[in-house]
Amino acid sequence: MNETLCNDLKAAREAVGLTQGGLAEAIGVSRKTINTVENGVFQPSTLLALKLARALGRPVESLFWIAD
Amino acid sequence: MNLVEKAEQRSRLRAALFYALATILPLMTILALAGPGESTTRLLLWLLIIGLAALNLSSLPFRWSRCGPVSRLMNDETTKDHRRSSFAAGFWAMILSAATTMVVATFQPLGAAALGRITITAGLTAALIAFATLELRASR
Repeated sequence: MNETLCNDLKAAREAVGLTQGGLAEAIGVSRKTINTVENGVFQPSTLLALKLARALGRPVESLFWIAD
Repeated sequence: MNLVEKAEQRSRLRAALFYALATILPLMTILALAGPGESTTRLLLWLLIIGLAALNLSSLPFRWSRCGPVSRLMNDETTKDHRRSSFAAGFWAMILSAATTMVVATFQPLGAAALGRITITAGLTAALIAFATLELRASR
């Protein structure tokens, strides 16, 4: 099984006018974590995904989904 | 400079330090193997360096001490993932170097100290390079 986790994090972050550093500071992670999640290099934990969704005011399933 | 920027700066410094250690460790091993014999001072220095390198590759210092906010950012989810990947790289480098050294030892006898030194150096060097590279790549 080769499933891919996709995300809309960059667009959602830019929509609320946050930089990667700003979002990182808001949820207490490093900027590289935001960068690697946005680029699909790193798959975040459930906890981090929920924190991101809360910080961006979006439901988690609209930020992350599995590619068909 | 805010916390995230401070953490990023320190992470880059840590990566640079790891690259420096990954250069020093093999050089020390080559000098020890090519030299006339093992001196106690050099062996102790090597042991100190591998101890510090291994400790910094693990997240143990972050568990022992009362971590400040910058330290917590330097050991977040991505960093822990990079630690796991670098340990895996170090593991395979150790297996490969131990197997290679054993083959070489059938032609050119090697002592246990030399075998240990080569194996540990290969494993740690691979892990240090892997961690530093992953960290710098993630920061781009």
